[in-house]
Amino acid sequence: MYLAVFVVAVTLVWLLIRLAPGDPALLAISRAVMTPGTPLSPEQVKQLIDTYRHKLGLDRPWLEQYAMFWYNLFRGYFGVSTMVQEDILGTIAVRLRNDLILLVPAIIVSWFLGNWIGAMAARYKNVDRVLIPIIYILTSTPYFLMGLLLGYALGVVYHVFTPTMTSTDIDAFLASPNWSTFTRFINTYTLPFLSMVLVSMGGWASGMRTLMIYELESNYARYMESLGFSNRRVAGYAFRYAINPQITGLGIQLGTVIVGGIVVSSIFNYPGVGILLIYAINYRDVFLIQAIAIVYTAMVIVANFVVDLIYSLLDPRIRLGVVGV
Amino acid sequence: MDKERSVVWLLLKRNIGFWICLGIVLFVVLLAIVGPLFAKYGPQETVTIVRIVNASDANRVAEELRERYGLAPADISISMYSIIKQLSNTTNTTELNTLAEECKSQGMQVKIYTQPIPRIECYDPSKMMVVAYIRSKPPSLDFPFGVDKQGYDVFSSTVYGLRVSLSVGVIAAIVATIVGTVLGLLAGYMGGWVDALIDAITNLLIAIPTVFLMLMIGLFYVVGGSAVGREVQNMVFLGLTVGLLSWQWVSRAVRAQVSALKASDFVSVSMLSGNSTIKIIFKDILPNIASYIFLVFVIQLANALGTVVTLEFLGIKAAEWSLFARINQYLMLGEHWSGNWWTLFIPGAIVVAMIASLYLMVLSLEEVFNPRLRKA
Repeated sequence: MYLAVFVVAVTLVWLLIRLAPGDPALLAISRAVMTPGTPLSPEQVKQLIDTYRHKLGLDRPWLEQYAMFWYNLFRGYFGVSTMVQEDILGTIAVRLRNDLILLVPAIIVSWFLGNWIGAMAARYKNVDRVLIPIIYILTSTPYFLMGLLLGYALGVVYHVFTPTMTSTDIDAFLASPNWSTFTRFINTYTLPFLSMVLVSMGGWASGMRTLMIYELESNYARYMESLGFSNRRVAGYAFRYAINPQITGLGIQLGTVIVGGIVVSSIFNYPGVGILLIYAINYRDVFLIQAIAIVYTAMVIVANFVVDLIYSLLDPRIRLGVVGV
Repeated sequence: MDKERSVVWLLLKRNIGFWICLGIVLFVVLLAIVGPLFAKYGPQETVTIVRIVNASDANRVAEELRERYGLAPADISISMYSIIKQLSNTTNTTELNTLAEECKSQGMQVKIYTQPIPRIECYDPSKMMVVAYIRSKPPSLDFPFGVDKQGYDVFSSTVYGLRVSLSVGVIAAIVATIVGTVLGLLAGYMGGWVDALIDAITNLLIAIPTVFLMLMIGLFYVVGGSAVGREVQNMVFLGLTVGLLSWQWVSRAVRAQVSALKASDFVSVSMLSGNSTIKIIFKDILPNIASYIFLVFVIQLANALGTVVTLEFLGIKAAEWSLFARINQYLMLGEHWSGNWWTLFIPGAIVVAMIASLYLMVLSLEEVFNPRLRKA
């Protein structure tokens, strides 16, 4: 199932590039052609294009190109990038690691915090009145805007944290984790982390609030209340029911959250894929974008799989194979 | 029915939050529609003030402008007032003389150049041209939203950018709602292999991050052709792209509603009385889910706006003056932290207010329509 999704997604990406107007080969060499000081004659340009077409295999039939594309994918070869001179996969692998360092804690923290806040909002009416606008404003803020806001407020105006990160900040901490590298890492890590958590927390909280209200109004909760259970106990049971859709929701929302994280990280020059992607888009680096799209799509699908696995472990109905209920 | 409607209306009237949100939404839409009429500058026009004055007054006027806008000396240039006229036909140089005569008759002095292009320069020694370049000015009466670092009036670029972003978002939301509703109706009502097929596509779109697909489509089909004059085409295309890749939620929601309705008694009665499928869908099912579809449309609009804005930030823009296209440029130059808060956050605040109001409107409407969410 997940493999099929991946195959279809990758094929879509490949088709998009193949069907794109404009020659990828021309795009790939456009920088070389436009470099000032080296005027190339039309024949040279033609020759260069032909070399690239051959190198990229664009002069072969479609099916063969498609097969070759998969073959290259398994080899880990993603084509020729004009921006990243070494192999694309290695560059992306490092950035993927850095992104995971940002994304995994942020997603987990925001999920737990958001659900807690949502449940609070559903339980206490006077808290709810204050929380609703805050929750909804948080969730409707685009990720990059929250990043800019926090970075500007806490990084530029009040210099609490450093708003720009360098890859050495992260590498030094990973190479030798001690107090000084840790503070340096946290100093730059906090802002992207915080902006991600704040925005996605809003989404979880708003979802949890609605689910929780439904549960608290349901028959079993009313029955428990009438039996004289404390509000706290009733809410505890309602929470267990309301959390299930939130776990499935986690799998569904992962794509959005991960893209949001990529966008946020680009603002803080976080050495993830975000800033690379923005440069790639502006310089039309087709193969780099293709590689990023494929690797990150794969990552989202794998993450989905993991969430499903966790869900089946947590939900006793699925774990025990109970059908119905 | 009527009684219920009046209760709903009464509850809605009492819901102050709903009216505030509706006001914000209408205000933002109005800003996008009529704002450009009040904008003093075009979307691509920098704020420059040009004064042509007598030579003796030049320094005084420059000083005045400097005082008025608080400019640095480098932002003002005083130069000779001159008009350059070129020949349409470069071989025929006799035209030069007639042009020169024209200038002289207006009391100007003339210089004739024959190299590299034959042209004449008319200048008036008694007049000077004072040009003030206004940059990085905080909001004031002259510039309600300030002026950004590159010299663009933020109010003008905001209203023009809002036009682009809102149009793309509205197109995307309409497309997503229509496609999702039709597919959801088909899947829910027909069942069988149609349902299975549509469900498979829906699941696929849910499982993969569609932003990457939007990005690639936008990159090849929109940015490549973002030449001047193609903005409308780009807007429609980008709207279609975003819409066609975000109908999955609508489809799923509508499908659930329709299959629940299909099992209900009145639809069975309608079927038994021999009504055609199309009649059942339009007469029995659609009226029942119309208000639901409207709510879904509003949510889609909010989501689409968020997506469009993020795409703009990533560099996929329908027009050069899209709302956040300049932030992308700042980011490319690594200058976003040295930018001014009014350029970063005034357009941002407007967009966030719009999206949040849409969500909150849906929330209040749901509370009104759905008694279970209504809190005593």
